[in-house]
Amino acid sequence: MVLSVPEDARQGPAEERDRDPENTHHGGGIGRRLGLGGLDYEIPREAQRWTYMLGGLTAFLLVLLILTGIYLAQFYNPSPVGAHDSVLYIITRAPLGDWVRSLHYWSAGGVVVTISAHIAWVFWRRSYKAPREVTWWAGVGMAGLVFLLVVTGTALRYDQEGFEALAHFVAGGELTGALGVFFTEGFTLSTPLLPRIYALHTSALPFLLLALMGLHFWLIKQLGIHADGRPRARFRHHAVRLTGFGLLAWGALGVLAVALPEGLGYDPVPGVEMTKPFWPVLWVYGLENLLGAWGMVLGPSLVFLFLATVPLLDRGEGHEPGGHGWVGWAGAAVAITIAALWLYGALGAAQQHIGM
Amino acid sequence: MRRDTTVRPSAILLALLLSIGAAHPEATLRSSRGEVPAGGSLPLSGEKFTGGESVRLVLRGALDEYDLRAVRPAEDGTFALDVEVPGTVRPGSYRLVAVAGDGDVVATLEVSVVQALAGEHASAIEETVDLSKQGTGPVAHATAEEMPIERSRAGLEWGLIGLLVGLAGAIGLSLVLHAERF
Repeated sequence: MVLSVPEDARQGPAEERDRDPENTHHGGGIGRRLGLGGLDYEIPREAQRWTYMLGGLTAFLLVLLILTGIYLAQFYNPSPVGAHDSVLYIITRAPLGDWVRSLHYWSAGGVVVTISAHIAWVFWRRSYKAPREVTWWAGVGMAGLVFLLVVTGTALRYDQEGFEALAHFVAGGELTGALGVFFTEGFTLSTPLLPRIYALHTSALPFLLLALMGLHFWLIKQLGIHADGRPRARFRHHAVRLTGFGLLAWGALGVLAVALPEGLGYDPVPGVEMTKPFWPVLWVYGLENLLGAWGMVLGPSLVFLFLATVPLLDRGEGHEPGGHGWVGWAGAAVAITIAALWLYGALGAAQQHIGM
Repeated sequence: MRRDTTVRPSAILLALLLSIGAAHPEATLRSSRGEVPAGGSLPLSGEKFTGGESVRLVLRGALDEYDLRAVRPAEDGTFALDVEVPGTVRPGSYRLVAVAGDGDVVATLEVSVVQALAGEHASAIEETVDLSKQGTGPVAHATAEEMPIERSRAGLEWGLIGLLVGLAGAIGLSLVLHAERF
């Protein structure tokens, strides 16, 4: 069974290192030249479970997003007068454009699922406790960047839904004053907002994400995977199995992209708000229904602020999963609230939140 | 002798390349406006065209192409005129290209076509835009509905998708089941 720890997982043998001091076991040629020996270290046997691979799986899906995004960028026109037509061109004329765009769409949803599950598992395991606080903060930073990538990506469609997403950026920028001036049309006269959102989505945000990912992986390597049990497995086996799960996920998303291709709305009509956002942010939409435009600013801010302060709030002794005390209950409350808001946003009628 | 047998073909090839390069000197199109309303006119000037040889002016977008008119530059390779943009042109980003008789594009100009002005070319707004080749239908008002897009894939595309998905699945499964062999 692929999800259980294999019975023949080997111990991390010092004897193996003695027999193979230059670590030529894995590709004495290429492996040694690429420094793959650095991946051949011991990890707890528990870490071979799939729950310890959610972060790596997220990374695999992010790679797929980058690859498909690079392809889409060859055909996308980020100017307001050309954006919608270029998306239609991608769907109808660009080679494999429809499939690649749908793959990009489904991968984005997949990343939201895996990153949410990863955060929930790490929170449950209390893996943010010392000495792994910075690892946690890097992860929270990445989650925030993924959120921004989702909302900026939605705007690039420049159909009715995309235009309303842009309008929300402008409204949020105006609400937050100096903090949000970048998202207002008045930030510069040289270019409208859409190309600037495109630049964020394709360069600044991915760059920051990859930088934090590098820090995150480096710290995991240095501090070790936080899992129970004695070191009885090899990280390279973990990496190989993770790669397998990543490729299986790619294949599954490829099938989804064929079976359920992503659509496109009509050219946008300004002045109306009638669509609902991409499903990962429906909880923000629900909060907007309750609080108005401030909901889209306060909701995500408070959630990420809570996540960022978890290592400081959980002063409990030890690392026992579930031993969070009140912090655990607060985390559960946040998750339940998000779920409830999501349902409210999904099932309720579309509403006007901002003056468009 | 070797020199005699290599110099002549090389000279002929060089002359041929030069003649091809000289057939379409670097022509340019200019306009005092970067955008034009559908149904309006765009002031256009050209220079460095081949004098006396007619070119066609075509408006090319991501999805549509509109044949505007032909123009014959003067002997000095210049021309100046107002080009009428049909009222049926969908607002968007276009390239105005000058196409020579042999099909080569000899000059391009980026142009934005905007919504026709109300009252001036009202028929362009009310007229149903023909998107039948895309199956998208007319756009009359704001809607949250998705466009009905006709999708089709060539056999090669299906093959590539199948290959990529199949490889990912097969290799992935193999790695998951046999990770300890690596």
